[in-house]
Order: sequence, then C-alpha cells, then structure tokens
Amino acid sequence: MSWTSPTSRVEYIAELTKHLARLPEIERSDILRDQEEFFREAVLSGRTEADVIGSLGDPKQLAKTLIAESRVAASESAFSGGGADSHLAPASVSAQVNSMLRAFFAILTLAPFNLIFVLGPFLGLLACLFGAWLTGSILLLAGVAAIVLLASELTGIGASIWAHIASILLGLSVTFFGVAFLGMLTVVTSWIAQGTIRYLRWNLDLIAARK
Amino acid sequence: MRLIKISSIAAILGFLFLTLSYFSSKRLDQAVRYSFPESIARHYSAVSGRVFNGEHFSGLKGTHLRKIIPIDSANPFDRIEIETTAIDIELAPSLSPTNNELEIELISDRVDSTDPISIDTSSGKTLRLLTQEANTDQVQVRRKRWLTFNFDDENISEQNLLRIRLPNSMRNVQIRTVSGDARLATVLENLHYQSKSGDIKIVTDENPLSRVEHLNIETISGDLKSPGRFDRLRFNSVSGDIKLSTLDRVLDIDAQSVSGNLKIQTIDPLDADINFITTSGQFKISPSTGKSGYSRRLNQNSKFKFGTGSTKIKFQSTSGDLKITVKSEADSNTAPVDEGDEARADSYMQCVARIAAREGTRMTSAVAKKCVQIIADTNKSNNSAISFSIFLFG
Repeated sequence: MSWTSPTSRVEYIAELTKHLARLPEIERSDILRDQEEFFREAVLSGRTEADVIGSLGDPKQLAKTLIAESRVAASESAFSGGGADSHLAPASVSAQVNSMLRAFFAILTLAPFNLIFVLGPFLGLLACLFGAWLTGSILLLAGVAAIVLLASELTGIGASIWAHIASILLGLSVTFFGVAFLGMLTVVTSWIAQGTIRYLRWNLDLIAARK
Repeated sequence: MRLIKISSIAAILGFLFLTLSYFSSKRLDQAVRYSFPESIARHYSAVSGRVFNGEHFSGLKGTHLRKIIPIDSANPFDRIEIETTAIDIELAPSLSPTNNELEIELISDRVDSTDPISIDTSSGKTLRLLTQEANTDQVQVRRKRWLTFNFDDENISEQNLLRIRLPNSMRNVQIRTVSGDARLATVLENLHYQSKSGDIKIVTDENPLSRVEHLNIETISGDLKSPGRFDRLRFNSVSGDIKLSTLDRVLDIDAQSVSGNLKIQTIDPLDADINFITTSGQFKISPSTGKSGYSRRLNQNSKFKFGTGSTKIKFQSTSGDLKITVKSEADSNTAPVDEGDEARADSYMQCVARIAAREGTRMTSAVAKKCVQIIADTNKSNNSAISFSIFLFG
C-alpha cells in the first residue's frame, strides 16, 4: 500500500470524512452511514477491521470514487427527473449543465488515463457543439438582418415590389431555417449530454471494477 | 418531442418561404439573375459605393467619360495610337459622318477617375490616347450557382471598354495593349495591333462594311477572329490562332506562329495559293460533302494551289496546324456580302447613323436590318437589286 493506512475503523472513517468535505452535509452523512454499516456487517461476519480497511483501500481514493458516484448519480437524476419511476420533472438546463460538469470533473480526477478517454472526446464534442450553435445563431440573425437591411436597401435603390417580396421571403426562409436548426440542435445537444452521462457512468463502473 | 415538432414545422416553413422567394424573384423578367454570394457583393457595392462588375470589387469608383475631338485644321489627325493595359477597345464608325469628329467613350472601373485617359496631341498628325489604369486591388467574389436569386434590376456588365468612333478621315490606327481585346466595327486602311494576350475581332453584326485594308498583328497569345474582312494580313504570334470564317476579298495572308493554328472556313470553290512552312504542323482540308478530304502532317515547305490562287496564303509555323473547311454555297448561310458601290455604302452608313442618333441606340442588328430594308426598297423602286446576307441579322 502506498498510502498511510489508518489502523482502526474510527481513524478510517475520520480520514474519509475529511476527504468527503466537498460533499453536502446530508450526502456526506449518508455515505458515512453506509460505510459504518459496511464495517459493522463485515465485523459481524467475522472479518477484522484491518481486513476491511485493506479491502476498501486508500480513504482518499475511496472518497474520490464516492464523490464521482454521487456526482454521476446527481447528473443522471437531473436529466431524467429522478429516474424512470420518478414523477419529477427534469432539472433546469443550467442545473443539468452544472451537474454534468461536476460529474465530468469528478470522473476526470479518478484516473490519469481519463485525461485521454474523457477529456479528449469531451473537448471535441464541445467544439462541434459550439460551432453548430454559432452557425444556428448566425443563420437566425442573418435571416432577421436580411429582412430589415435588404428591405431598406431595396427601397433606397428603387427596386420593384417583387424584389422586396423576394428578399423578405428569403429572409423569412433563412429565419425559419435558423429556428429549425437551433431547435434540432437543442434536441441533439440533450442527446449528447445524456450520452456523456452514460459514458461517465460506464467509465466509473469500469474503474470501480478494476479495483 | 415538442422541440422536434417545432423544428420540423420551422423547417417546412423555411422551405415554403424559400420556394416562394424563388418564384417571386422569377417575376423580375428583365433582370439578370445572379447568385447568392454575388448578390451580397452587389448590395455591399451599393452601400459602399465601390464598383462591382460581377467578378470583383475594383476599389475604384466607376468612370464614364465621353469626349469629342473635332478633326479640323487645328487638329489635322489622320492616325490614332491607343494604349491600354487591360481595357478593351472598340473601334466604330462615327454616328455623324458629316461631322468630322473623333468620339472617345470610356466606361471603366479600372481607371483613376481623376485622370482616366491622357490625350497627346503633340505628335503632328498622330493622336495618342493612353488610359491610366490602376492596380485595382481586386477582391474576387466567387460565383456559385447553387442558389440563384434576383433582387434588383441591375445588369451585370463588364465595364472596361474604350469605345472610339472614328471619322471618315481617320483610317489608320495603332493599338498597344497587354490584355485588352480589340473589336473592329468600322472601315480602316491600316490597323496595327500589338498585344500580349488580347484578342482582336472584326465584327460585321453592327456594321456590315467593317474592313481593314492592311491588318498587322503582333501578339504572344492573342487570337484573330474575323470573317475575312481584310485585304492583307501580317500576323506574328507565339501561340495565337487565326480563325477566318470567309476568305471574302482577302488578297494576302502572311502569318508566322510557333504553335498557333490557322483555321479558315470558306465557300466552294476554294481559290487560294497556299505556302505552308512547318516543322510538325498538320495540313487539313475538309471539302464540301461528297468530296474526299486531305489531311497530312507536314515537315517541310509545302505548296498547294486551288483555283487561280487569287488569295495568297503563307503560313510559317513550328507546330501550328493549317485547317481549311470548304463549304458549298448551299451548305453555307454565310454568303458573301454584296457591298455594292461606294454610294450605296455611304447611304447605308448614313441610314444607320440617323436611326442610331434618333433612337439613341447603338448600331444593333435590328437597326442594320431596318436600313437594309429601307435601301432595298429604294433600290427596288429604281429597278436595282440589292442583297445582303441573312446572317448579318441573325
């Protein structure tokens, strides 16, 4: 073991509490209660505290995994509205984005290889989404600008009524294409976010299984 | 699902408005349609005042200059020298043959509008014109045809033309240009054309009498296109081609080229004395239907004589080909023009000038046709026949 091993349950729980300080009080209490329960059941089944501490590993690493688990679960809950059985509505977009980012950074700190397997694809996706949103916004603005600017300019050069009609219709067309594009992009972004959460969950499970 | 529905409806509306816009733009029948990026460029042009000629912004404001120089004892010019860089030159007859005036019209976005053209009158009987062309710092605008709309009634036209209407007394012209094309629609004694890549064309659609007695062309890659319309031709080029659609009244052709071709279309019977000096050029003659042709790659001095050999053709080339297509008169709709006597020609020109001046138009084929009809009617009443070829008015 490369970590300084606590010698008793009390020391281990105290160390774990210290590393879980970032979590809200209620969540931290739940986790600590679960860990206490785990210790108690293990001792009742005949295992020693030292044996249990050895199987749980470094309390700092365990805290990171538990935080990541908590963050991914919170993110899943934010997107699904508390799970398939829940009647709660999904959280607001900002809450969803917030929870996803928290889960993402929590997973990122779990293992060094996640810089490649999580950060790389995430940045790529983020760049694509940014480009797409920028395109959609420009399309929408261009449509509105076309209606306003072309109409005034065509009036200025004394163009015929059909020129006005054609330009306004084209402006409307571009505007609606912009709306359609942004609408679809919202759906796609939501799919990508849910896919990202699933990927984070898979990543977390993989790391947990390795341990 | 709600978002998908909204997006689908918006997309359908987008397509609907796009279709309506397209059909609305089609209502502008008289306008030239142009593509989407180009339309933006044109609107930018309208706002900024920068000239857009359909391909690029010039960075300069357009210039439309018209100047008349009377030819009299104070200005006894009988020769004109013209120098341009890229501006095209059109030589046309005066619209007022009775007034001995030289008319200069410059329509261009390449020149410095403060000093577009310099006119040198200090060389005795030679008048010199020099266009002051600027480096226009052009911005290319790509023409894509994937979305074509029509927003206004502006015409896209290349506006780089120096049109010179020559009086009857001025029959000698020299042109020096880098890439400007020359268009000849008048009668000249001597025309000396020097260019790097500019082409020269003798046209008869606006003036059926267009002709040069002595045509001297020196060019690197410029071409000559002409329905004959000259007595003698000296042509010296590297890769420029000569394309003649008839040999009507052509006396002598002396052409030298490295890789340029000489292509002649004429009417049966071919009446020419040909001297073809080449290293690897091909001589090809395609006669009218029913007769066998002749095609051979030559590497020596070869002489051919057809008929009495009234047209002397000497063509020296390294690898350029000499191709002659002989058509029977029945196959051809390019029958020679009966130009008639000088008096009739004069009356024709006066007629064209009169109509053009009255209606403010150029000498279009419609004007030419009208004049031919007037003259034909006049001559018919005098029991005199006149015939002009139909192709002039096509």
